[in-house]
Amino acid sequence: MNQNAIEIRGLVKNYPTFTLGPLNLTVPRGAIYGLIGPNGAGKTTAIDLIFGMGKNDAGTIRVAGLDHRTDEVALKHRAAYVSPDLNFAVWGKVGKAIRFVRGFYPKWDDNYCAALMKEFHLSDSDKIATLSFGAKTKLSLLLALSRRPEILILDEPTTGLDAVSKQQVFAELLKAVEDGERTVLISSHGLSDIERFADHIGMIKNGKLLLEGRTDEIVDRFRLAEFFTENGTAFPMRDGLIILKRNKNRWHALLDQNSGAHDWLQTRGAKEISLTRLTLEDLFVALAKDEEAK
Amino acid sequence: MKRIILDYFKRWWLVLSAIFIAYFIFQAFSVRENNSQPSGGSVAIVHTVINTVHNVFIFQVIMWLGFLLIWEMQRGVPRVLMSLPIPTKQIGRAWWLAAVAFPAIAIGVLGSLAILIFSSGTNIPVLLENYLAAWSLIPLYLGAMFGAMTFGTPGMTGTLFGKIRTVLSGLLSAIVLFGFIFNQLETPTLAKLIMFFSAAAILSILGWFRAEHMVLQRASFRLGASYFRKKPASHKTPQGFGGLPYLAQRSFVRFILASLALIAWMTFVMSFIHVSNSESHAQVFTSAVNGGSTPWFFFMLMFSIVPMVFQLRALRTLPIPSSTLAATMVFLPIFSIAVVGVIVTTLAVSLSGQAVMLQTINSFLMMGAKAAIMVVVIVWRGLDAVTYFLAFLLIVADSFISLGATMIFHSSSRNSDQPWWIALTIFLFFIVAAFALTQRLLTQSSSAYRVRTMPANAWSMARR
Repeated sequence: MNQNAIEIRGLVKNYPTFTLGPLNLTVPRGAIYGLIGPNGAGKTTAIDLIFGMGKNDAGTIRVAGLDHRTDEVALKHRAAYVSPDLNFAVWGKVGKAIRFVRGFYPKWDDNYCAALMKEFHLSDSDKIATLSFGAKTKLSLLLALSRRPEILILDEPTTGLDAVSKQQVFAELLKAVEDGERTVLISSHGLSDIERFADHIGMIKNGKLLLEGRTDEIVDRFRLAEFFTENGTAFPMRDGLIILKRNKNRWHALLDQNSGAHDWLQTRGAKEISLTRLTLEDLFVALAKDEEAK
Repeated sequence: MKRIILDYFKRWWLVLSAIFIAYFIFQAFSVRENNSQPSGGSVAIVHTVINTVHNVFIFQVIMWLGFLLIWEMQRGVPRVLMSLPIPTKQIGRAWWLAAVAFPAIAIGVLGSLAILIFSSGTNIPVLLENYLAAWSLIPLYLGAMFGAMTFGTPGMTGTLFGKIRTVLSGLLSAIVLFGFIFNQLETPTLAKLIMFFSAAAILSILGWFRAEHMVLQRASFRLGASYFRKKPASHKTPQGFGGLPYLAQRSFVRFILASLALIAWMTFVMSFIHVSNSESHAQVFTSAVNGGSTPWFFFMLMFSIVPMVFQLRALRTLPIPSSTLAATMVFLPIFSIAVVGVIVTTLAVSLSGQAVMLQTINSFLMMGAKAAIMVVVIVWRGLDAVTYFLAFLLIVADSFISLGATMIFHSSSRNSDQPWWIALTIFLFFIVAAFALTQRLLTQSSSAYRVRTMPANAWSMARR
């Protein structure tokens, strides 16, 4: 049995001003995977391609072992998509949108749907156009969760949500995955939420995956290194070391502890090397800056 | 003020250019044909057709210029402009100038130029003053449309007063539009003309002064805030069939009801016109069906095609094969049109006999072909200026085709005399092509899914 819920291999999508990929991404079954990146990094494009919104120029996408093009319908039965961009306003009322979507899913859970409506303070007679931005996202989440999908893909679901609503959304997501059988792929640029919530992360910038792995391992792997050097010492570029700032003889760098950069620094004359743990946000900003500099 | 006007023209230059170029061409045709020497009945027929087409075209110009403004407001432009350091009064008046004064001047100048250029070297004198007298109605129509829009409300608000006001303002706009048809279909008496001129002039002037109010109202409008009647919360999952059959049912019913309402309204308007001429019910009904073809096209866009594009992203995430989705998008509006076509043809035949059957069938087949093309265009482009440009071309294509046929065959060979199989072939060709292209766009193109909800669009969609 395939252990990965989503496998993206060599995915390329070319636009006149932007190229996504080649992108390799692996979301393990049962994981909560945070796909993080700045605006315009290619997160939505990658997710769109999973759901057949556009054609990839190269590469493959498999979701629950199904090819995203040849098994399009079966894939969409097993994976659900949530985004504030999904527009249900044309249905007029919440109840009508639910009735429409419900018709596609034989496994639709009416009781769970009713419970979510109560939890999210959505009434079937509410006019969708009059809902707040956050309530529309909740409706999108309700429509996705009620079909009990194996894989839940959320594109910027916390955009426009207040702190209480965010907690509600994450609580429901956690409930949805508590049996360990369901997988969540959540794209966001709200890194603090992802750090708390996701057990796996992938960082994407300019259409390229910067790194991928378990959240705790990644955060543990990198450190902010502060050190001093003699006058005039320079450090050539090398893997695992990103110079962030230099103030005369005082240096700040991002250090990959698995790369041997620490020992390398010492051999090059770096003194008083102190290592500080980074937040996911700090790490992402540092990696993104380095990618930009390249 | 200058920047707002320039910005408006920069964004809509493609659509406006198409309108003005088409107008120039029509005017040129009109001059050439009116200057040709009479050689029997055929020339008279040509003149009649040109005048009819010209009148229909002017009607479309006015509708389109009005619609551009509505789209501006739906896109949330007032909100953006209000955030700039410009007095609201100036914003409103800039819009009045951009939507009323400048287009009217452009039409006047282009029409006069066409007359002067194409009448040179001919013996028959062209009365420019006649044209200018006729043209003077155009700023009045545009001004009246604008004025009527300033009384409009951005959405159906929760209060009874708000609802009544919305209905009345909608009626006012409809009266302005149909006032144009009254005027075109019947030679008005002096009293009627004075009445019309006065009403249109008053509305135009009111529009100038109320423009500020319109901008302010649109910019500050929030549907959520206006809809305050809160029903007790209910968390029941709705029962009954859902999925695509539900989508089809809703779209179909909405279009049929809107179409039948349109026929009823047009018949009512036409009966009012024809009552003085003691014409038959058949003529009234035929006029209603023909006169309604342009509004029908808009109905089709607004009730069948555009709503589907707004939810395309959501539809694509559901377990529907792309071929089924493409078929739904193309065939659903066409099926709705076909049903309306059958109803209208049956009514037309029962009132007027077999003679009108061919004309009505041809008219609906062509409308179906247009619907198919529009599905492709909207999936391809979303709702950008190119879409409006192509939609405009599609609407005037009818006029161009009948004008071309008239010029070539020198007979009034509009839909009525064309063999049904020509329209059927065109219809089938466009449907098959539209289905193939839509399916291709749905699977190959990413842009189809990037149609974002327009910020203030919700007001037009949330009236149910």
